[in-house]
Amino acid sequence: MTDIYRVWGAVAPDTGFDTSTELCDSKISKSNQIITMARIWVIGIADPVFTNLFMRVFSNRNGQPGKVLAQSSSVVTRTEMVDFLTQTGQYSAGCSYVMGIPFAFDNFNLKQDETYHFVLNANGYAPSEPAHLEWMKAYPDPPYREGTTVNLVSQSKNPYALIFQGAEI
Amino acid sequence: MTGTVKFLFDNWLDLEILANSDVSSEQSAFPIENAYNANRRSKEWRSNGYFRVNAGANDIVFREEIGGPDLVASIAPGHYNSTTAFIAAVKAAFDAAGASTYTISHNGNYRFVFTSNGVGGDGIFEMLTTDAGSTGVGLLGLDDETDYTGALTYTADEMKIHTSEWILWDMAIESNPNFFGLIQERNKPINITPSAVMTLKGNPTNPADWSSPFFETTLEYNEQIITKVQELVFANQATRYWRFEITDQNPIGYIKAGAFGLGVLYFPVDGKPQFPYQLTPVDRSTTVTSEGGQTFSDVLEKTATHRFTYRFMSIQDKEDMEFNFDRFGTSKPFFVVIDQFEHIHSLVNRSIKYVKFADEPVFTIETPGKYNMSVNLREEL
Repeated sequence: MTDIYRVWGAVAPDTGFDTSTELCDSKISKSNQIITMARIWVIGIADPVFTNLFMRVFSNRNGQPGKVLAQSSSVVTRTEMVDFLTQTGQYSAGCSYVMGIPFAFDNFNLKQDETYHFVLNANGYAPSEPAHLEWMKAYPDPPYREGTTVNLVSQSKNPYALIFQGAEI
Repeated sequence: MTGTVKFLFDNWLDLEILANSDVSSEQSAFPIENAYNANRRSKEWRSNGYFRVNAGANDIVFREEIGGPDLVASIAPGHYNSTTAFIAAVKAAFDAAGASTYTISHNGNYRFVFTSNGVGGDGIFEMLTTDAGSTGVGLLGLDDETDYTGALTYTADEMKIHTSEWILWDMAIESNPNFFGLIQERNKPINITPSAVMTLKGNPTNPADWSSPFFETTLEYNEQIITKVQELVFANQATRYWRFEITDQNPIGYIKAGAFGLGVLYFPVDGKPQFPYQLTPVDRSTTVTSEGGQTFSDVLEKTATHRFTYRFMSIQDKEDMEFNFDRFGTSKPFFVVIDQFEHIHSLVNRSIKYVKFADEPVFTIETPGKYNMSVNLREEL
């Protein structure tokens, strides 16, 4: 079989994924803006077990995630993830997937030139070999061969592994 | 047209009407009077950082020596009407409790920065924000889940530009409006964030704590105008004091308002605006064509005009309108609610405009005792 599409991801930690800041994408907001949704792509290998997948936004403390400033108001469950794929609403055990996941935020404010850390978390996560979750990376990728920028220049001009919906203020 | 166009000809937020007015904070170049009656909407009030410090929520536990003892910086309770004054109080609290000298500042991202010169104790500085005694963490935007250790300078995690801002209006007499409006420049989204918490309150007295006013309503965010408009008056009983409150950790660093409106809307009792209602968007930009055929534009701000024709106004209505035109002429702006019941707009907010008379209204007699009137209004920028 020929590979027609290859993705790379950062693997979720085996333990403590509910509070870990390991899967983190840091962005410098280049304008004052409001976030109402953040969308990421998740790789699920062999239908990994978890309860809720959610996103948190951390303050920047010396380049690292500091305080939780916001948590997504929506979560995605394991069953929802798999149901998206089957189209019939039937749970399909053991399948793998690459899914775009929208996380809603209640009008979270981003300050211009401030750094924010967007962290992916899941509770009830019980990975097994080989079933696990990964956050799909934007790099390496055909449109972004040279790497990605941390500058969140605008909500419509950003690498697609983490995109935002909202408005500038 | 259905419904009735309503005019705020009596905007109570006018220094000639108000017995008194007070504001939580204001920048000296942008006083609250800029946003009162008949001012340009682009002339703004800007807040200057109001911090209300309450006893019981004003302590930070910190250390200058390894292993203790715990020191407590207790910020003096009170009302601080500028970030500078509040910072001075925070510094005084740390300096009084410790042996080191502390520098407190607000960085470019509106986060408080705490710096010790390391002279006191063992030359360390630790802020124990997870300690139950650190009741002031929220006030300063600090993290209550992790202590700040290992350095002499720490930056708070959250942006803090105020605890809230408020504007108090003393009407001197019991008053009961049915319109409130807050606008900024016309051609930009309002610079208040959707997460802002805004309330309008009314009370017979001016208590120190407005937590339980006689009347209180939450104001919803809208990108064009923050408003509340009712057919009947807001409160069950008229009250002397009215107060607008807002809490909004706004990334621009302050709260601003271009024009406030508060009062009772006027509309002619007998006459009604007739279809067609004429809305004309106006672009004042001038475009010239070069010899090569390219066009070059001098880009100017856009506005709009609204033309209504009333029919069968009573003599009293006609004289009221004459009187109000005498007051405002073509030079003073006022609020108008074109479509309160959303018959021809998607949202009442989109029908509320800040206008001037673009032309003199024209009155014609339809029948003895009944007048027609043509009005042309131009939106202000």
